[in-house]
Amino acid sequence: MKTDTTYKDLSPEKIENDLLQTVNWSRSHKLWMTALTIGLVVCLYFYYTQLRDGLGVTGMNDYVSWGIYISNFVFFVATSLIGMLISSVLGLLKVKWITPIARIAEMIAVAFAFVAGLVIIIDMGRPDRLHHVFVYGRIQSPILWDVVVVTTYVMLSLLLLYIPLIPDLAICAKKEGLLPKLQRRIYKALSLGWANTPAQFKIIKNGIRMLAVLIIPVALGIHTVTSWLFAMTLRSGWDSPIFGPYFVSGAFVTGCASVIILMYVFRKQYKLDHYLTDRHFNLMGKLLVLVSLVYVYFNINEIIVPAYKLREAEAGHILDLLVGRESVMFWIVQVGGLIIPFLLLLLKPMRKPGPAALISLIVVIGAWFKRYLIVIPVQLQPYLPIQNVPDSYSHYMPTWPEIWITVASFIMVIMIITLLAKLFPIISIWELQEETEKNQQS
Amino acid sequence: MKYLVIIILLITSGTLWAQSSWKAPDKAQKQLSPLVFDEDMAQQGRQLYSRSCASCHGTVSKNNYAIMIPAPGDPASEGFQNQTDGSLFYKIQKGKGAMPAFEDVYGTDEIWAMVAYFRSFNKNYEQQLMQLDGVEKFNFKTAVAYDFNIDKLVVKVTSDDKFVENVEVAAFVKGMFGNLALGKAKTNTKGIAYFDVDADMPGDTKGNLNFYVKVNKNYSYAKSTVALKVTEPNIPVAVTEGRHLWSPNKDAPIWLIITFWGVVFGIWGAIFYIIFTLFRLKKYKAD
Ligand code: HEC
Repeated sequence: MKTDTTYKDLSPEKIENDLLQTVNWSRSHKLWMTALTIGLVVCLYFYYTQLRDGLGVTGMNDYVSWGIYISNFVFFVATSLIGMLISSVLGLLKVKWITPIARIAEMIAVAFAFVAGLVIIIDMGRPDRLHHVFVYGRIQSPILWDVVVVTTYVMLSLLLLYIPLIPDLAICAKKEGLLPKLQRRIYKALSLGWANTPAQFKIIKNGIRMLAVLIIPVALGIHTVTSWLFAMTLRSGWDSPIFGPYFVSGAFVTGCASVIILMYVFRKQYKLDHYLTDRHFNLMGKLLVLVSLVYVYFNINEIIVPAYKLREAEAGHILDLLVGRESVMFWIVQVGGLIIPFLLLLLKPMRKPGPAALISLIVVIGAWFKRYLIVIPVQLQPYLPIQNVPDSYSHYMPTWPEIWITVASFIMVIMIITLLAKLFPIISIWELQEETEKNQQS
Repeated sequence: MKYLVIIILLITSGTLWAQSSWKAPDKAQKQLSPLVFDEDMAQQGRQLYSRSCASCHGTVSKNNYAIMIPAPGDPASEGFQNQTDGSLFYKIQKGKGAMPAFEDVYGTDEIWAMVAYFRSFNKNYEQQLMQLDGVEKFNFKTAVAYDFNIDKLVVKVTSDDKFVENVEVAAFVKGMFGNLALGKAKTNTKGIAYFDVDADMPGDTKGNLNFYVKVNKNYSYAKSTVALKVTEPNIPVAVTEGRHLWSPNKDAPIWLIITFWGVVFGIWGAIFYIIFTLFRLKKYKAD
């Protein structure tokens, strides 16, 4: 007996109408995009000062040469990984409830992975020499692997967003009245002559399955290679063989939390209660608990193994985190951003949409600072002690331009997601229709 | 500012006081080095100095000695150079206050070597040599060979075509950054001294080792350098040679090239295949 109606009880026509209502250019949307654009332009002014005056406008120095740009990059790559977990792993396992969420996860993947690439360029003092990475790059360097794997992941995520969209594009193309003619023409071209024939379904389902398999190693690769940017060095604190799985498990935490937040926003904004139901929040909450537990496990390993031995080179860094100058942030992030949230999510009422979204927001903020703690403190504990240098070199504080440029990267992510949500149905229409039809036949 | 002035005053007064108040006894002042100061000796002195003295006296001629009262001073300064060889020798041997005594640390030849090093910074210096009347004088000549049967370096010492018995010979192998001591040995009744040589020692590209021998008795002195082919030719291999993780891109390890491009082509091949299948959608527009 069900008390809530879900999309399974709705007619295909109703589903189509409900899900197409988001595809339009409403006034509120235009206002929102204008606000974002103004914000972006303001932030980009600071990027202009960085281009003009060089990386000196940031807080980075001879010791901390990877600041919040790089920790932000790690965070973005991490968040983008969720596309793989939801649409590929759970999809291949034939988990049914993810159908309405898959496209949201894929939008997050595309937006974050794409902007992650831009963040790397932001971190370059001479972005005009970007092509040097390819011209003079050495394939022995994890940095080159990272460039390649990020590009590949963006491509795969785009395809994984696009191919399941083809039947929906055909639907959008037919939608007269609301959308400009040119836009419908583009939809038509992009739908590649879609006509709902079984042979066509076979092609895209094959394509989706191949992509789903392909993206698993690439997604693991993108974040493992990102961890190798650190772990392949000899620095104590980064020189850790579990860095790959440590990063990947952490990625699923921020990814799950971001999906929950976006689900909540879409549900509220577009009144999609029948599609993104309490059950979805409940299940995503449970998934978040699971991945958090795995991540907590890796965190314990990553800290306790060096902390037990306190080898001289590692002691400085570990003590900095546990009891030293980074300890306040460390414990707030670990306890407040990871342990308490997942303990709360064990309670069923906390997995209702509102509380789950709030907890997820805290998890995401914690996850951002966690990346800060992974990237920055290690650099302040080099093997050769920091001496005979200006005092400012022995600590790191991001400057305002640096912070605003980082904010710009978030604005870009939000703009991309907003655009995608306005251009395409956020939930796959044909897949839901297919499911409800099966449901109603049986 | 006030403190700075006080410190400067203290330092300068300390320096003045040190120079005026520390005098070696007259007899010590007249002491002369039995050895002729030369480049080799100065070189030896430099090594000893950087090991034991630079922490206080700084880099010679750079005036960067430690701030102490009295000031240690720079060995190239007039304060040092205006003293006699004997005075410097005495002060290094005996020490005073913060200046440690090196009597028990270094032999007299080593202390003279440091004096020689200090003098090498003084262009106007001319060594006052010892009066050697009444002391037996030698006109040393050395012949150096290698005996493969016993893996030993053989040094024959003559003076005016006569063997010299019971004279101390020191032998070294010259290396890139310094000399490797083979040891010291006295000549036998035939005027010959033997030195063990590790035949596995790396030589130059022709297999030569550069031996350096010194003979020294009663202030008579001789030295010579001989290259002998003792080992196999040693062709140095640069660490960058071959395929390594640290090589330039063109010398990347084969396994890495295969793995990297294999993965890249594999995945992008699959991506292009999927894109290609999408273009077949049009064909199946109607059943
Ligand atoms: C711990 C610091 C220290 C070390 C190490 C040291 N010295 Fe000194 N040295 C001094 C001080 C201080 C003086 C000044 C002493 C005084 O005038 O009372 C001094 C004075 C001298 C003087 C006399 C300078 C003069 O103006 O008369 C000589 C020569 C000298 N040192 C040579 C050496 C040599 C050679 C070594 C190394 C083998 C050496 N010192 C190591 C502190 C040091």
